[in-house]
Amino acid sequence: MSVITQEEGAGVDFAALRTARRQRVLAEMERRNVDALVVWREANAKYISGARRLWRAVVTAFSPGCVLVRATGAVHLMNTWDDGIPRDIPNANLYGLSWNPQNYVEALRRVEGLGDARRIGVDGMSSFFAKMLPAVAPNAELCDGEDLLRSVRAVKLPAEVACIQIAIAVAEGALVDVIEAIRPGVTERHLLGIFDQRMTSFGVTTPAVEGPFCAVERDGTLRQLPGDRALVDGDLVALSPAVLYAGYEGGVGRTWPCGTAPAGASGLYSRWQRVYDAIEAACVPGAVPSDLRRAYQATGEPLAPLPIAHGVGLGVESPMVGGSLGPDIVPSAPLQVGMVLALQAFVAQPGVGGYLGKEIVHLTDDGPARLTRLAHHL
Amino acid sequence: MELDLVRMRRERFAKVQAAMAQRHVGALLLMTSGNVYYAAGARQATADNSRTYHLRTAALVIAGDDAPHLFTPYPEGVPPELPADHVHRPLYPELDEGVADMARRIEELLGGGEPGKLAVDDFTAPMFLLLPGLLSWKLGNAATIMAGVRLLKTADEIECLRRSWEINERATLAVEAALRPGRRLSDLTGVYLAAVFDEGATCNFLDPVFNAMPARIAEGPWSTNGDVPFALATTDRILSDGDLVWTDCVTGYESYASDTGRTWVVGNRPSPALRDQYRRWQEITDAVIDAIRPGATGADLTSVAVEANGGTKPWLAHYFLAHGLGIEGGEIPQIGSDLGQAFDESFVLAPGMVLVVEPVTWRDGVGGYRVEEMVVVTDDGHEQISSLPHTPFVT
Repeated sequence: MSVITQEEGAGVDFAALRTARRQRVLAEMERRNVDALVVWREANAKYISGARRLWRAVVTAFSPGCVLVRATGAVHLMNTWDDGIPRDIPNANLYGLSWNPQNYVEALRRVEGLGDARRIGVDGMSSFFAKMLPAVAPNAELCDGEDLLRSVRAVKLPAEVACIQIAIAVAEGALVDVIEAIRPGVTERHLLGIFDQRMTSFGVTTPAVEGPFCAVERDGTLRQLPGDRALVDGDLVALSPAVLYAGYEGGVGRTWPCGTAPAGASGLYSRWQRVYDAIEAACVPGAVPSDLRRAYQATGEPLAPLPIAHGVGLGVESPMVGGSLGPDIVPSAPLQVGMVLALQAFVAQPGVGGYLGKEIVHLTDDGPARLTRLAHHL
Repeated sequence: MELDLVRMRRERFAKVQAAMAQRHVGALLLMTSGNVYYAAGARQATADNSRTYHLRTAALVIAGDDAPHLFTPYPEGVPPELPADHVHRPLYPELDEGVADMARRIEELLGGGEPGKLAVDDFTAPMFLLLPGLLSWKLGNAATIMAGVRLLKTADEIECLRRSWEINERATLAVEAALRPGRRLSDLTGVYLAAVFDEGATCNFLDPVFNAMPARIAEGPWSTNGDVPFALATTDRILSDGDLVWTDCVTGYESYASDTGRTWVVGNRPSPALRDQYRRWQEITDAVIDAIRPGATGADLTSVAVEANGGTKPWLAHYFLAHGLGIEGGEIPQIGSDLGQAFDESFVLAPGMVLVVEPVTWRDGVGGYRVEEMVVVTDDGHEQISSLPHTPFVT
């Protein structure tokens, strides 16, 4: 698994994957009569371009990070260097980082075919660019490019599933180090650091999320933000990290005891297994995402305080199926063969703690095939 | 100083309200993570933004209200002093139905009075396409208002920034100690992330940058501007004795960012020519920091830097000589950037601003020197917070 940050040589033909992804996007643009896409969300830019750009963990305002023009099929990217940029994107199509949004407007004006566009799909918008776009494409109306890309990205190509499997393997490998480090006195944040360090030993430098690496409170409350709390004997520690490999997310959720497992811990695991089996059984092609929530609730267990399911691909994808804390609105599009989903359940018992577990499944013609492989200890 | 997070949030919220009153804005709808944190103090999972779009926090600030409305899927991240009737289930503006729900809930909170101006800092696509038709209020731009409010830091914010910087420096020292031939650059990332959380960071914002620099620009990647190629995404390249390594690490304490950049030579024996680059860098940096005081303009800093460098700009063309520091990373101002000379001339330093000064020296064939220094503008001058030594370049 060496040199995998180069995104080559790991058993995945990335050049073919990039071409296949872009062809799918162009076909959907044609179907929806969209002339150009102007996107900011890094996962959308990654899907279209395959570029490896510097990763940041923040939600910032819309800016034109990547442009795809249907007439030319050309990708134009916000990047000062060709480092990390696939060779099929010529240097002339790169425009440098800027602090002056007016310079991005000038860069968009130079994009061949964008000025003639009638319909432009965007995955967000800022007040500034809303004002400036008429100067770039005077005849264009804007439409929902996120919806377009969401529909294309939903069903995974075999190479995408391979990337997700690699990411899962990295996350599971790193989580083993975390599990071995669990002992009284160790802080939750120390576990996060151990996970990240082991992740980098596989050549991956981007965690998808910082945790949870959290002791479940004895009253059964699940926290998700790792902090200064030191573990004590008898804690049940909820672990649900994820990493990004070539942009693709892989993660796994397990709960491990600190020191002596409390009495009642194995009963918690049995209850978790029952809920998990119920949502996995409901996760079949043709079901709608809210069926998963209904299956969860039908077990009689209260909904988990985090999403019970979400799409997995270039990071977290639709459909997001919120748990007891939301989000409450669930997409209605049915599940399809080829989707990859994370399924998650949590059960609690006052006086003991709780059990969190997450698996990732690939929807096949035969039903959900589990991609996560790490054992449950309890 | 003693850090008081409740006071920090109270003072920030008061500044937001004052800016709204000044600009006659009836309400702010904040969607970007830094602005939500500033106005509402909401902690959330630090994550790839694909996750955050689906599990996002948002804030609605109504003019004259005592507290912000916070929408969040992370109850544990809600400030304890926030009234229960101001804490709400998350919004989901990824979907048309979610925007309809958002509009209904916002109208309800705004009340039935005369519609005013609702300033928004960022839109999802369905928000942009549907919200104007669903709300009685007129939409405006919150991004500029919030950037202005965030510019001058309170004492508690400066304390958070100082702690963040100190944590980052200690983690950086741990990486420097681990630097040796045979290590991969991505191993340095691992050492950094393990150390930074042990040192007390509450989150990490950037894929830490560890770049082995080419001796000549032409030996590096092609660029749009022909300048020194930095900062690139870290790879798993194996280090050799004598490699020149530049770093850029952005980490957080209570979401306040630090932004350390260092220059190292694997084996710790910089050539005399590289030491010359350091010496010139130090002269430039001393001159720039010396010029930082209330009333000085951005252009004063750039002209001092150019003069100390013998007439040419000693910073990267795609970046800046100095930038503001705050929540999640860099903030305005970007001094010496492509915002241009007019911006630099109009930007006047004031007490409470926090700057990162990052000159760069370079000689093709030799390499160059780049370190970031943190400076707070005080009532009568400045205070430098960064404190790492420049060994082994100092002779």
